[in-house]
Amino acid sequence: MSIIAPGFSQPVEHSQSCFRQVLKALSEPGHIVTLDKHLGFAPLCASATQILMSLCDQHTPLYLSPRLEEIDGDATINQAQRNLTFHCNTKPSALVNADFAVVSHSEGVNMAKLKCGTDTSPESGTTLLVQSNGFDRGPEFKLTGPGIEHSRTVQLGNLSQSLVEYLINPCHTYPLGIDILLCHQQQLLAISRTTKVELIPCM
Amino acid sequence: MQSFNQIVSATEPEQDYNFGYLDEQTKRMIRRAILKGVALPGYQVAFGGREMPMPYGWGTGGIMLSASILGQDDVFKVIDQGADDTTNAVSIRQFFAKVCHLETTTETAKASVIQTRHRIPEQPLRNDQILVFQVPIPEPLRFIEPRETETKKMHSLGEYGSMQVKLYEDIVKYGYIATSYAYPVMVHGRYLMDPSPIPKFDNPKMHQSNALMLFGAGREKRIYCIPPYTDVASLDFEDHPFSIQQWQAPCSLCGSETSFLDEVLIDDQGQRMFVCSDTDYCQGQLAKNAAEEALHG
Repeated sequence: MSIIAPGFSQPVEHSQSCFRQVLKALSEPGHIVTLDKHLGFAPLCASATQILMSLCDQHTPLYLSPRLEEIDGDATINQAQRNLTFHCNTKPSALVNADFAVVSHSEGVNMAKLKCGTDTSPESGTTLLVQSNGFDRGPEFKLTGPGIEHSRTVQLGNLSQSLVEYLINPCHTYPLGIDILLCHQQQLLAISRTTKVELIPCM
Repeated sequence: MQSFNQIVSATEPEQDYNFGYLDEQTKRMIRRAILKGVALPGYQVAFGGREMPMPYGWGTGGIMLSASILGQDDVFKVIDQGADDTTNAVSIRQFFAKVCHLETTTETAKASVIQTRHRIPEQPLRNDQILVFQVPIPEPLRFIEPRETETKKMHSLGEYGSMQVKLYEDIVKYGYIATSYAYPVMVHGRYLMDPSPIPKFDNPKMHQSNALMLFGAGREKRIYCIPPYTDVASLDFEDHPFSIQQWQAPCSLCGSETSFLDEVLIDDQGQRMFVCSDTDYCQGQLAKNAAEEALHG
């Protein structure tokens, strides 16, 4: 028996303010924003939950990775899915069909299988949410591209080999690609498909 | 005896529109389109445009964008050809004051969201500001190739030679590139974009701009975006480099020599004067001049 948790206390205001934070994050990749309107449906973190609640509905197939359960042992992914289905009417989907997908930072993801858009409609690529374990750990990356004045140095947490490889050397060529939103607790950091990511070698 | 409706209206405040007029489902759809547009600078994202309480051509695309991004804390400014006091600007400002109950302003520096028709403010924008453009025809290739199926292919292949030919025809006919507004630009070196009918004078302001720029076309149902600090290059030729308009005389009101001037007829004899098109900038300059005069006697 699962219990439905409350969603946003002020749905109109809170989804607007969350959207503006996501807009800020994606238009300035590498800039960390805070989403503080909801505690999240475990095992999803607060920021990932708020992004999904403010942007998803019956038109956006959603994939939640079972590997997220490793982060929070008590909560099951089914519980989070039920809550999201109740609050935004999203339909669960396979990873290959998802418009929005949430995966764990340590997970190996076959990025080539995700939707990356088509030449005439590149906007149909997946928005991939990655639950990171903190923006103060892991290797340093240098970001350049639209939304970044000169360059930005960021840490993205301990990401799996497949995610790091995709960031540095994406298997899709622009304009095709996947937009990545890295979430940690209330924090969000985005890497757009236009962002050039370079690994800074350790000293 | 009071009717049920009378009791309800006595106890409840007047029930009006949802915040921002649009329903939440529509806002979410537009928000998703904006995010994809930001990830694909200059690319036109199709969206399900809604019927707005004003006709197409009055800025419905910009209004739908503003309605989807505005929040209670925003300060909203609307300009029409640079002016805060024209019919279009006043009615859109009143519309959002009514459906959002938010603060409006005419001062560029005070605004957090600026909706504009055909100008970019003279005062440099900040990183925390968003500029929303009203766009009549979003497709820069439309007058070269009327078929949407073909222009979509041209964008996907980056096949923009025909636009260079159009500018070249200008040179052959007039000796210079005569296109002076809606001057085509390349965004992030990939997508050809129509910057809406802003004068080419404003094109350089889009390059590496501090502010996020969103473009909305209501009739054509397209959204496109330029994130801050993005390369925006106006098309030109090595021997005919891009140049902006210049005027012989300064603004007749404030004396500015750097702003975009409008030609205004002032009598039946055909007398004319040139004044700043950006009314807020012009008033700011006038106030500055007055303060300096007072200081130096």
